Amino acid sequence: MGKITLTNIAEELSAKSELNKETTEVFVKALIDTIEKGLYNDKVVKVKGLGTFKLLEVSDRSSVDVNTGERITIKGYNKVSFTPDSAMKEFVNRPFSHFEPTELKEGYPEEEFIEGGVLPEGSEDEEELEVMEEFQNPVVSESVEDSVSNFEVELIPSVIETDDVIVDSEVPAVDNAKNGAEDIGTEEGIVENTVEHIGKANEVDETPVITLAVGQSTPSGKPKRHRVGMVFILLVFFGLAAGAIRYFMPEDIAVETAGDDIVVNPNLQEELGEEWKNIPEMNVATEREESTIDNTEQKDKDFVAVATPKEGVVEISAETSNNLKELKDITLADTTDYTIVGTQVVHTLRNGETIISLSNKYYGDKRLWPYIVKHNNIKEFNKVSIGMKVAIPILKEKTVE
Amino acid sequence: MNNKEFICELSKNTSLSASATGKLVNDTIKILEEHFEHNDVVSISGFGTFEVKKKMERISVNPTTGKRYLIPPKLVLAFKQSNVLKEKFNAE
Repeated sequence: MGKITLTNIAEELSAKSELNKETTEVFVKALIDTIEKGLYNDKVVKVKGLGTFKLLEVSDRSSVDVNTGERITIKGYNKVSFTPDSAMKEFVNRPFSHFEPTELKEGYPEEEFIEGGVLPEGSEDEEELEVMEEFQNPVVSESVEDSVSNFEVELIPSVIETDDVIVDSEVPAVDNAKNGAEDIGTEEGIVENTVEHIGKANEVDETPVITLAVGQSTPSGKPKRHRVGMVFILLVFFGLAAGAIRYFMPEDIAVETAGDDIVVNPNLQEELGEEWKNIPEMNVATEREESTIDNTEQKDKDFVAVATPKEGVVEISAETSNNLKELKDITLADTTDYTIVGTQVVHTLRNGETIISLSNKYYGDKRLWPYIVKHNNIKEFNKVSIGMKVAIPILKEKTVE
Repeated sequence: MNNKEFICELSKNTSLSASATGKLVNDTIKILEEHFEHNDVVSISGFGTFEVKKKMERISVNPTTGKRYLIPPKLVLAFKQSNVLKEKFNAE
């Protein structure tokens, strides 16, 4: 994977042909010159075993000047093109030579590959790993050897960098080494394991890097698959962690927030059903969080539901709500505690009024605005107009079993 | 200019016999092959660079049958001319 120049080639040629370096250097230069002259005279030069050099003419083309925007003609020119001949092509493609085009049937490409056929993404990994192994292994062992000396410091960051779930299992292993092992023996034992993992992880990591050098583009499909799985696993972790945290939180602060900064609650969609399709997209993570939160809210409903209709309690709730901005998503839990049993009155909206202000006015509680919205089938509760007639429903408390 | 002519020309320029230059050319190509195997970039100053590049696999459709095929990835040898060369050929 290095850079080779004419002198390198001359040196190697002198070794191979037993001529001295000066001669071979002259020879290689002459070779190149002959190609150039041949191109100049004949436009095509064919070298057996290597390929064909051609002098191509590119014609003028009209385009736009990037700076001024005015129309411009890009002058035509000559360029030297090269196409490898079949022997060279085959030789260069040897690592991938066993692949063949296969027919795709309906469905995902991955599903369609049977034993005899090509497994592009899976075996590609293996292939590349095999090919790249010879210069990967030195790299891997180097980096591990370096980090063994600064075991605690360097190993962890390098492990964390790799894109694998293996990260989680690595860190405890390293921690154990830090805490327990005085003797080098244990460390080495763990190092060996981590070497394996790092080797694997590095290979996975490095393959895209190496292929960049090899090829003109990285196969974005491959790392992506790892990435998708990784993201999914992370999301599940977060969901569970969030649920666990909320479960273990003391009850008084698990009360839902309310009041002045009501935001559009993504949870609303679940609670109020299909009317809310045009609510902005939900974050998948929040969705998971919500579902675990719901369980905890059930416990607190009794606690809260009794209190809410009374005006005095609104202020207390508001206070606690101010302390718990991060628990915004538990707002409006008590919206499930009421049923709509009729219409009290039809209110015509005036300038500066909002659904929330109506809720406050008629129920003494801003948090009950979703009932008004649902009762009126309002699609965009942020965008109600002056003069709009809004029916204020009568809310009856649900008794909770 | 086909291969024979090329070797002829080269032997003239190097005042070696045709067979000798032919052999040397083959040796040179072998050396280049070894470097390509290692994914080395071979750059001849004033001429250009040879590089092994990877082409990603892709899905293509046979227009007549409408069947979709997965074409596997492959490694190809690419040549990029140097600016010196470009100017040489565009001076005229």
